[in-house]
Amino acid sequence: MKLGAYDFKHPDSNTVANHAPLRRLFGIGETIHIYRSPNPHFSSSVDTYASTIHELAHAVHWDMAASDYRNANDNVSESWPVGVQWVLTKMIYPNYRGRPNGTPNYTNVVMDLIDYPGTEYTWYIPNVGYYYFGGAPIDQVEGYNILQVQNTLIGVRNLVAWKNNLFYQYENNTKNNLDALFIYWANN
Amino acid sequence: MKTIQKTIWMHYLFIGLIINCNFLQSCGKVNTESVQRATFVYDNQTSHLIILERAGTITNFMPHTVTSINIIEDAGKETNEFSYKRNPFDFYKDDKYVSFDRTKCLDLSTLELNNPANLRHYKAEKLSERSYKFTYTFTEADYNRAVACP
Repeated sequence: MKLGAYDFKHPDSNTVANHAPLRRLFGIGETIHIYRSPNPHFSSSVDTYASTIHELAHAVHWDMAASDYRNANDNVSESWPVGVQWVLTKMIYPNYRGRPNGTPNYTNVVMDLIDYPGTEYTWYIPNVGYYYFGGAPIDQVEGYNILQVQNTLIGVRNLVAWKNNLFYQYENNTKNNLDALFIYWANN
Repeated sequence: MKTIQKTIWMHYLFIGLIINCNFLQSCGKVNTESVQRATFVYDNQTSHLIILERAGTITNFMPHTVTSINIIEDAGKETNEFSYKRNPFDFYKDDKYVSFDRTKCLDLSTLELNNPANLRHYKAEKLSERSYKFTYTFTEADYNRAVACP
């Protein structure tokens, strides 16, 4: 797996990173490209690390279920990396709080599956006067681990199928609350 | 015999092409993480100082002055005016008041019309790809409906 780290902003000035499996053909290109973040409020090393993990999680998804990766709804194919970036980035940066909420399809459902109690975070940007919100405080689910979440992605192209795999493949005391959790994130 | 060999070879070629196409299709998907930009423009057409105070930070909107606040935030796959959910007046767990001259206040948690905390009450304008301008105009009508601050 080759990663390209570019110490400049992407020419379109909006792209933070991307994952393109085709670039790995014949081992020539870099599957993942990471650029200098165009967002001054999220451009520290922890944010770059989190973005890299996010793209690697896409690569894992493609590697274990390419057809599902291709056909999955965006709220599946993006929520999975959002969860992985939270879990793995926290191992290096314990205060990392995950990706801010509010972007369609980039949900914190994986955080909800794992954590208890849910925690909500805010970032306040002084001199600008703006809040970012993060975290996943609404759930009654806990105790899944990231490997279980990964394994249940196989054969999954939408949130309902993902929820069903979690329900039927793993025992968990809170699994009767999976419906409410996934319904919440399907609408947020 | 020669004709049969050709046919078998073509069958394998056909199967190979299908496998290759499927491989390239799954390879062809590109997931891109992007940002979107917002410029919030506040046109204070009143003759009063408008004060936005939260988290210990005060933002003043001077009378008869236009103030701009620029934001960059994580974005989804596509951006349109509805991709933006929040604005500088949409703050969190603080008292949702905005004051005029520190004497009269608007309670943003109760306003149903012309609420600067509600982005759908702004005039939206696309500036470029993934970049929008949202304009809110404060008028004397806003001052008149404000009440004594708590």
